[in-house]
Amino acid sequence: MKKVMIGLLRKGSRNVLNLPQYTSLNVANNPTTSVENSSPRYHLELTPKQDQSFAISLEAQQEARLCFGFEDGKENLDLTVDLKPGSHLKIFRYGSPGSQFSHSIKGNVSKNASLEIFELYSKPMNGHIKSQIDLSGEGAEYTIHSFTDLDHCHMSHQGLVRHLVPNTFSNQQHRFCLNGASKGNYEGDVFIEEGSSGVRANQLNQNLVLHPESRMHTKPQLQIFHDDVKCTHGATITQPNPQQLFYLNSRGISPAKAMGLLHQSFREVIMNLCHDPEVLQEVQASFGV
Amino acid sequence: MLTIKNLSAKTGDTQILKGVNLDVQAGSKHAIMGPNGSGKSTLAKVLSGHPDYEVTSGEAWLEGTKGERVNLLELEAFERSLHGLFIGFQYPVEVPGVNNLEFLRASFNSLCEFHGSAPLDEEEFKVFIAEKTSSLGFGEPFLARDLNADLSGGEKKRNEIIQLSVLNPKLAVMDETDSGLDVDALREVGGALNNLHHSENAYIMVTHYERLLEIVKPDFVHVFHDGKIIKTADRSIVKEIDEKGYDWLIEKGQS
Ligand SMILES: Nc1ncnc2c1ncn2[C@@H]1O[C@H](COP(=O)(O)OP(=O)(O)O)[C@@H](O)[C@H]1O
Ligand SMILES: [Mg+2]
Repeated sequence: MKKVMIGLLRKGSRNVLNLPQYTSLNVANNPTTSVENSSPRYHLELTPKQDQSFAISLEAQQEARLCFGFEDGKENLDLTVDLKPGSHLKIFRYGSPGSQFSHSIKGNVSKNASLEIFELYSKPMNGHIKSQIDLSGEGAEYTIHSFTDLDHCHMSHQGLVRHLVPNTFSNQQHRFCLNGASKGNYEGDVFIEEGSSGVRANQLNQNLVLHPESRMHTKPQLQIFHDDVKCTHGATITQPNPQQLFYLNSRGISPAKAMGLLHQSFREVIMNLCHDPEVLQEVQASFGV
Repeated sequence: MLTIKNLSAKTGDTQILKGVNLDVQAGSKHAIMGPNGSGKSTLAKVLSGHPDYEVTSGEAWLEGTKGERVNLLELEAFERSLHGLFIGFQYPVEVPGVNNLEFLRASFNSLCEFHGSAPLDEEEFKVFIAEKTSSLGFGEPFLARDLNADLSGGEKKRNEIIQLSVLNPKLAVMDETDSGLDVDALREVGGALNNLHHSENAYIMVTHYERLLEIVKPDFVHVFHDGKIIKTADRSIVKEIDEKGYDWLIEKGQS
């Protein structure tokens, strides 16, 4: 892991970011003065090739940002997130985690709190991502925008979002681009508890398959135990067809560049949703943009 | 500039082009007219290097942007474009996911690279393209839209003209660019074609209608039938075709 940045915005009276369990990370060692800053940020260098596990809990009305940049090596990351009412957490994950990595996140989002995940994995090695997010208070919101660029590797992404109370919202967009003999697996479950009126849940898994030996399996699912909800879920698997490639070629764009253009365009839909210039710069660097 | 000799081509087992001969000089404008299914679009696509067709005999030479004579049939599709051949397709392909701005810039920068000049970055390209799109009635939102996806037939044709103006080719074959255009759009497209024409390039316009040719005024009109050109005449034949159709030419051509 390259670095973890934690930004804590002042809101309310307490400026405490609780990180009770962690390895090689100690927020208390950082000067408290930076917390007084309008947008303080900790830059923490972490030792690579080490499993990282964090429990993050935000107090009511707190806001925080967490950025995880991955480089090579086996990099496991386990996050437990507890968001108290009205708090907001943004998590950025990007880069190229190493072989056999496993990333998991278990989150609880309470009343009027929000969890937003933005992740772009460029050429990860084989690995596994797992998440379970519980929306446990009215007005709780979960958003994820995810792009994974697979090249000669296998990766699976398993997600469960549970809408446990009325008026909770989830919005998920997962994109995979597959190159070489890659295998992608997406399983997304959205569960809506009985009596949960006013839930809105959107889940979309879009896949671009650029190589004949690539395989994508996708299974977006909805389990609804209540009528008065607005839900969408869907998956698409697209392969550029020869007519499209020819059309691009006929405009001077070589076959290799045409593939690159399709790939880049597919990725940029997610990348353009990153409104943090500093993160965007690092993300772009990890994709060689 | 373009020399086509005895060009024949097939798709599967069907012979479609049966010996096309055509000579196009720099600075000239040609029209190809002919009944549906006679092979006009196939000629355009064979020239462009479309993978659906196999050339069975003949030659096609272009005096390219680098000044040399290139054997089109030996080149890949993208190379033909870089050497200055442009085909305005009858049915432009939709490429959802790739927006017009990215596409046009990739196309333009490929050409820059080919000619050893510096590519344009996004901001520079936006300035370069803005005037071209607005003169064809497209606003800025157009550039963010996906390539040909959700465009009407007429908009797709105008998009082909934008591409033509970006690539500034030596030879353009415009296949039924006027089909699906209303009168105003037709005037716009005809005007754009006239503006882009100069003494160093040449056009071939495939069309069924007099209207476009009244604006663009071709020097030669070729009548296509059953995979080849059966008659070449001056512009006056357009009116005759409009009145009498093709039958009288076909009978004569075959006798
Ligand atoms: N890719 C193809 N596969 C099969 N038949 C084709 C294909 N392209 C053209 N043809 C056939 O070749 C003939 C000429 O078609 P086309 O070149 O489109 O004619 P035009 O443009 O003059 O109307 C038609 O009979 C058409 O059905
Ligand atoms: Mg046609």
